[in-house]
Amino acid sequence: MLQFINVSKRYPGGADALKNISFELEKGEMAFLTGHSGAGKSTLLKLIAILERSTQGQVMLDNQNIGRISKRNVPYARRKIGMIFQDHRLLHDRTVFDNVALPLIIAGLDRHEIQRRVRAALDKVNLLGKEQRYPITLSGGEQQRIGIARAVVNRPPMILADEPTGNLDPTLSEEIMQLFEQFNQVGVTVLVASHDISLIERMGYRTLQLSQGEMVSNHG
Amino acid sequence: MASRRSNIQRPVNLFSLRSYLLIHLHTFFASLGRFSRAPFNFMMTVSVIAITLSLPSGLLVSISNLQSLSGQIDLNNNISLFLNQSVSLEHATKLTNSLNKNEKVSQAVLINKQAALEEFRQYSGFGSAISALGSNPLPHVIQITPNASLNNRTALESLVNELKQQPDIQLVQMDMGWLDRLNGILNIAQRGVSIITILLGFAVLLIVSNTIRLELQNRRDEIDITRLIGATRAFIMRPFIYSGFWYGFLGGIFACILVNLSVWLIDGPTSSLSTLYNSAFSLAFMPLSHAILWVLFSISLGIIGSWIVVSRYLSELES
Repeated sequence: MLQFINVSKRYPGGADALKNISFELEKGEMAFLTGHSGAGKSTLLKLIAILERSTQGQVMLDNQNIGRISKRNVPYARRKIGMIFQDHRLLHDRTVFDNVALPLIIAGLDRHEIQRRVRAALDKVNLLGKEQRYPITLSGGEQQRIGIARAVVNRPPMILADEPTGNLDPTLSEEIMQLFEQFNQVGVTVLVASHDISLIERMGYRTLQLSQGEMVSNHG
Repeated sequence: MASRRSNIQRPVNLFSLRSYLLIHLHTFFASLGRFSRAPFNFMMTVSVIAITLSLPSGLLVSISNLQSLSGQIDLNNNISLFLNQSVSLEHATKLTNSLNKNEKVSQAVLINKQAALEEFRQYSGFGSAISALGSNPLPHVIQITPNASLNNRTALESLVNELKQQPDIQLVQMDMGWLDRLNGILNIAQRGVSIITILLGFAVLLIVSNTIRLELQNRRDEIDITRLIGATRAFIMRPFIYSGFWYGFLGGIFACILVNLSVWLIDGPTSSLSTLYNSAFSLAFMPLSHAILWVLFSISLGIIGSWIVVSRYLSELES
């Protein structure tokens, strides 16, 4: 599903953020990405989200070299990834329903289909009945679950989560992780960036560890 | 490479037109909804656009009114013959009758100097001064309407020269010179209005651009988020283009309303002034075709203004 082949990234005038990274995530695999801040985690995620382009090497998503696709095609490649952020990145002037519906509106689905899928996604994250609330009126854990519903509503083959539990207490973090496991069980490839080592160890999935731009461990 | 590119999922199916229209419909209402949340700011921008555009469109309406006024005068292109003081009324009447028989003249009317003095006394307000004069300073005047076949300058001038040969006629006056001058001035004014239109068109472009730029800054998060979840450039631009459309559309309509309101306000005094000149002239409103053109002009400025700003902004963001 996701493949990095000898990928390096150097920012103009700066040091190497990533040095010769190679790894592969199989379809339906779940893995963690870890490392201290400044290790290159966010650069790696930015390459997958096509917010940055690699200086060298290839980033393959679903057999497509996303480092070399044209600007025109970037949005369509991004729709294959459901992205989840530490700060949720919700639109606070819109209801829960409208937030979750956004990827479907972008894809141009009709109203009934949108309604059906949004309700299904909210059901999965246990937020059914709060469609008309505004995100600000919900708790941090609930807001993160809105973010997750938005990421999966379009049924992408892959989920990419950047520190999804960064602001949550251990119980809530556990719940969020269980959600990811549920999606993984139905065949979605999941990559979670996190520095919560204890949680990662408890979960017992493959872990990719970055340090100073290099992949220092890659084990299951 | 080519085969890899081909597996990009593009919405190229039977439903794409339908979904395209749905997206448009959605943004259409969404952009209106946003305005309803900040109606004051919205109306402020619309008013600035309306006032800016009402200046050139108002000037254009004034010019076309002046042109129609000069056109009216042109139609009854009268020639006035001022007779010598010594000519008697009988002689003047005889002369008038002979002129009426002239085939180049469609009508000749004698204005009796006694009647003219009475009229002047009545309307000029110099009644007592005229009484003090003792004798009538006015000559008899014959007013000639040339035959309709004399529709060009040289033909008219030959008639004027012919009339000048008459010994009883002191002065032949044809009011063509000042008409030419007025038309010349109007041409300059029209050119001036064209320049003003271009300049103020740029001003509207800048007003819309600036407003949209502020809107972009306010909705920065939204743009970032929608980009991350796969919105195309067109999808992100669309609501702003619609905003530009609404600014232009409503600005243009209000500009036309402002101009016609001004015409209506000025028409009353103008009509009473023109009755003093025995004319039924009254101001014309902006013709519908012009109003439609102004609104279309304004809409295109709104769309172009927002398009420039948003596409620049997005180009800076894109990797």
